Amino acid sequence: MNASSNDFARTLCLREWPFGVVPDPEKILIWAGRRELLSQLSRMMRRLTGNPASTLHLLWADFGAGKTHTLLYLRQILLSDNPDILPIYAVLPKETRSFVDVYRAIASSITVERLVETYRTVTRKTTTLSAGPLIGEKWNSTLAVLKALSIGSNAIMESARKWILADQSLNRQELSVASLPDKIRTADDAIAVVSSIVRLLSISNSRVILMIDEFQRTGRLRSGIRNDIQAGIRTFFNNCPKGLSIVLSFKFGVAKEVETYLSDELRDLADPQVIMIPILNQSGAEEFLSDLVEKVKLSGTDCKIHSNAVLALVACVSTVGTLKPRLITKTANLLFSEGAMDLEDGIIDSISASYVRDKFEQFRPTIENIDAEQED
Amino acid sequence: MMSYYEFEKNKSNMVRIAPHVYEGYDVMDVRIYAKKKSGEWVPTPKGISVNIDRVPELIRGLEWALQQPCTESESTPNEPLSKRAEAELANAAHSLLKKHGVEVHWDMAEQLVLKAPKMGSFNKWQVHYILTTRRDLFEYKGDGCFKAI
Repeated sequence: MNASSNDFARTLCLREWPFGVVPDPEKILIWAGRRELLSQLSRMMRRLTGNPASTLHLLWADFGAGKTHTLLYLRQILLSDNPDILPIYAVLPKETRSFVDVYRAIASSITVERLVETYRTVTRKTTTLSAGPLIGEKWNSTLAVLKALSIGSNAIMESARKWILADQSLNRQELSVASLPDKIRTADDAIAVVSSIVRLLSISNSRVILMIDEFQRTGRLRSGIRNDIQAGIRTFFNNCPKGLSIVLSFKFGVAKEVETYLSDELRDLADPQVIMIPILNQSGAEEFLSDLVEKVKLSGTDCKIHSNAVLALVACVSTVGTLKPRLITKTANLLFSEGAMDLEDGIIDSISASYVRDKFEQFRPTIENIDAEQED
Repeated sequence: MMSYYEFEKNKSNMVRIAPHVYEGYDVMDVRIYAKKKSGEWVPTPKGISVNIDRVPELIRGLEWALQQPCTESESTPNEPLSKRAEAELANAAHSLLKKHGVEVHWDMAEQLVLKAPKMGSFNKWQVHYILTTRRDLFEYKGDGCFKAI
C-alpha cells in the first residue's frame, strides 16, 4: 500500500485500504464474504489433516473470481494456525520447458530456513534416514546439500542454496569447493529431489500442501512438454504416498474443461470434487464488498462510506459486466479514491449511494475497459 | 539491414524468411540459419528461394497441406474441407475457444474442439487449418498457441 492509499484510508475512517487488486503475499489478507467457499476450503483442510494419505485436488476459477487471493489466504491461515502444515504456493512459469522449471518454481517458494530447520529436527531424532526405493540416490544428495546448508560456510551455503533452487549458474568449481553432488539437470533429478524434500518434511510430521497456480498455462505447451510435466507430477505424487497434498489451480471460462488439461493418470489420482470459485451473484457481491469494508473500519469512528453506497456500487458494476471480485475491487478502488479526494477537498462529507452512481457514470468507459481486460 | 521474419526451428536452428534480390530476380528466401559457437546466426544451404510471383502458390500450397491428415502412410490425402464444413468447424471452434478465454496450444485446442458435441467428424489437422487460416477469428500468439478474437 502506498502513502496516498494510506491517506485515503484515514480520510474514509478505514484502518487500511482494502481495495488492492493484486494480492500481496507479504500483507495480511482479508477474507470477505464468500462463506460457502471458505467453508468448502476449511472442510477440505480438515479432511487433509485427518488423514495422512497424499491427495491431489483440482481448483477451478472463473476470470477475476479471486483464485490467487483464495490460495494465498489459504496459505496464510495454514501458516498461522497449523505449525504441522507447510503450505507452498508456486506459480507455473509462463515459459515452462520441462518438469525442472516446475521444480524451480516449487523450490523457490520454500524458505531455505524451513528446510534447514526440518533437516536439523529430523537428524536430531534419528541417525538413519531412509527414503524407500522410489527416490533413489538423490535422497542422499539432497541430505548432503541440506547438511551443507545447515553447517557450511557462507560460500558453501550459497552454493547449496543454488543447488536446491536448480540454479543454472551453479558451476563445477562451486560444486567441488562445497563438496556437493551433481546438480539437478533432468526431470528425473528434479522429481527425486522434490520427493526427498517432501519425505523429509513428512518424517518431521509436517504435511506439505503444494499449490500450483496458473496450471492452465500447460495448455499453451506442446503436448510433449505438457506430458512431461504431468508425468513428473504423477511420479512425484507416487513417490510420496503420505504427507503430501497437491492443489492444481486453473483459470479459464468453463469448469468442466479442467479434465481436458489432465492426463488419464492424473485424472484418476485427483479428488473427484473440483473446488470451484465462480463469479458472484448480486447478493454475494454485496456481501463481499460490505464485508470487505466492514473488516477494515476504524473502531470508534464513523466510516465515510455509507452501506447503501456499497450496494449502489455493486448494482452499477452489474450493468457493465459479470460480478467478479476483481472488477468490484477495481471499481471500488477507483470510486472510493475519488470519494476520498472529494472529502479531503470538502466537496462532500461522506460517500453516499447517489455519489457512487454519479461517479460511476463519469467513469463508466474506464470501468468497461477494466471489465474487458483479461490478464494472461 | 534486410528485414526478415524468423521463428525457432530448434535450439540451434532458425527459419528466416526474407525478400531478396538474386541475380536481378525478386525472390522470397526461406532459409534455415544455424547458430555458431560464437552465437552468430549464419545461413545454411537448406532452404528455398521462390520467385516473388510464386509466393501466392506457396501460401496456397501450405494452406492446402494444413488440411490434410498427417500420417506416415502415403495414402491419398483427404479432400479439403467443403466451404460449409469449414464454416461449421470455424464457428464451433471460435465459440468454444472464446468461452475458454485463454490462449492454448493448437493440440489443446484440438482436444477442446473435437470432444464437443457434433465435432467428432472433424480431425485435428482440420482444426489446425482453421486456427491458422481464419485470422478473422483466431489470433496467433506464438509457439503454436492461439486465442479466439
